[in-house]
Amino acid sequence: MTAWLQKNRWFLIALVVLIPAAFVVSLIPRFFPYFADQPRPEAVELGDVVRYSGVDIQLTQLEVLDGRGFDAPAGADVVVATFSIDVIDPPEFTICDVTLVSDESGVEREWKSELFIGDYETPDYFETTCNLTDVGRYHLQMVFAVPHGEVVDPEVQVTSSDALPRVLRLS
Amino acid sequence: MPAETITSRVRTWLPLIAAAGVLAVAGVVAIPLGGWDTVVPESTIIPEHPVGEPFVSHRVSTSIDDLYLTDVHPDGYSEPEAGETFLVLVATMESETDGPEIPIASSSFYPFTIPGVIELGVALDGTSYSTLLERDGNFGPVVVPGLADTLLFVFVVPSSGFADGDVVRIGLTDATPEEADIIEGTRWVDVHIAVEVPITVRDER
Amino acid sequence: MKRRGWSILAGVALLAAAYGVTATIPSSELVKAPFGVRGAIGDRIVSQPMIVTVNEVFLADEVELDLWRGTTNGVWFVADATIAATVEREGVDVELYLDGVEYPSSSRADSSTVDGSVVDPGFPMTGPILIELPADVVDRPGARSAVLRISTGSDPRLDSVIELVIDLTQLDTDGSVELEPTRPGER
Repeated sequence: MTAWLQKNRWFLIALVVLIPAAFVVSLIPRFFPYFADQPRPEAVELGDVVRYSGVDIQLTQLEVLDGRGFDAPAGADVVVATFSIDVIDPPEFTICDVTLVSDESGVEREWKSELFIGDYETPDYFETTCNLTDVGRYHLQMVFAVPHGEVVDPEVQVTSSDALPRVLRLS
Repeated sequence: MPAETITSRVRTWLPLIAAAGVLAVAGVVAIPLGGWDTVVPESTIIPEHPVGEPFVSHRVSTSIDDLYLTDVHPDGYSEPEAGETFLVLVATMESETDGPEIPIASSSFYPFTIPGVIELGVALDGTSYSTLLERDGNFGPVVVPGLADTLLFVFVVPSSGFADGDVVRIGLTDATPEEADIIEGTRWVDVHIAVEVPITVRDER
Repeated sequence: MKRRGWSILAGVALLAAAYGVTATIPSSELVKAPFGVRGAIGDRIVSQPMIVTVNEVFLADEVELDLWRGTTNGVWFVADATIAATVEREGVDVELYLDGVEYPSSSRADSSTVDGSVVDPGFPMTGPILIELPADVVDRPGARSAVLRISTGSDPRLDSVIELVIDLTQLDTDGSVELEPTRPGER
């Protein structure tokens, strides 16, 4: 056995190197680009201003309200996220997506914003949809319905399709 | 030349000799038959199929039940524009595949043709037709295997395009299914009109 | 001579192995098949994108839902299900398979059925599922082991889906049934 190993040592060393190398090379066309495109969340504290996709974004308020006080659907609390948005150097085209994220139940879950929840009324001076392409300053408020008592310390995720894989998580 | 040398030479060149022999025979046979050009028939007669009888294709079975003109859309509220009217085809259909079928899905394989209204390979304007389930007026029905149901196909046509008593030859189509590789599902090849249903247009206007 | 014998044997064995490998290559359908999570009526079944409890199933000749009356040339398969998303908003798609033949959920009742709606994490929705089947469905192949599949979309390839095996021959067939439309919460 030892003689056989000795005789074939260079071939065996080549195998040890080439098999993993072949595996890595097979990942190049699809897996590495896929991995590189995965969102990379960047944490931002409440009140901090961050430049993202040519826009200055500041989360000014994040409140979790008991849904029963707003006649929300049964079993729902209302989360209100308020932003100051200053579009300075926008991209030619981008899609803005804002979702509420929480991992408090042991798994990361997310919820989309609603235009209306129960009788909670967004004041008229707030915009209710995210726009990152028209230059100017505005205040944005978005509301989310979350399961009652299960979301206490959420994060707001802001995604600009033009800025991917960079993604903001504000809280 | 010794016999052995000739034999071994023949053996060496045998494949070429055989190929040449086949070609020579083919050439000789082809002369009285007019050569090897593909012959295209001058006319293709499409058989007729009766009204009310199901025709079973590989995708759906279709029975043409009625064809009429109306200014009242079966949905109860749509109205034709000036100079236009509705041509309604009533047909009973059932899926003949292993799953649901959308009757009018692809312009390359409509289940039927109506001359001047719906023809193979010609895309329909989405606003120029609608499909309803006759029993409850539900839009966009699908047909499933083993369950025939009656559908209304409503086409917007010029008011003067058809008249009461006109005989329209509705073509019922068929094709050969093949397993698609790039997309999931079935690819339909050799789409053609298999039978024609002559039906008299009624005017309910 | 002996060495040649072994060589021939090895060659034949390799040929047989090569044939075996070729003959057992999984079909494209199998390679792309969804990952089914199976359960029974009444079970809380959890797949990767959704949590489903099928509360009851039966057959019916006619159904009423809100203002809509559903007649059929066949028979209605009716299920009552509670569905929630696990992680993010999902659509709900339902089919019934009999021996490989697919029957989709009906859209005739519009938004009153739970399939075709969207569900969010932590917000279960309960409602009916309606599927039109041939009148002689209990006599058809696969009727004793029909598979009810609940997924997030019309293309379930490589998706995590929920499946229940149902013996249609054992189901009650009701005449006309009035159903409750989809509503938030558990049953």
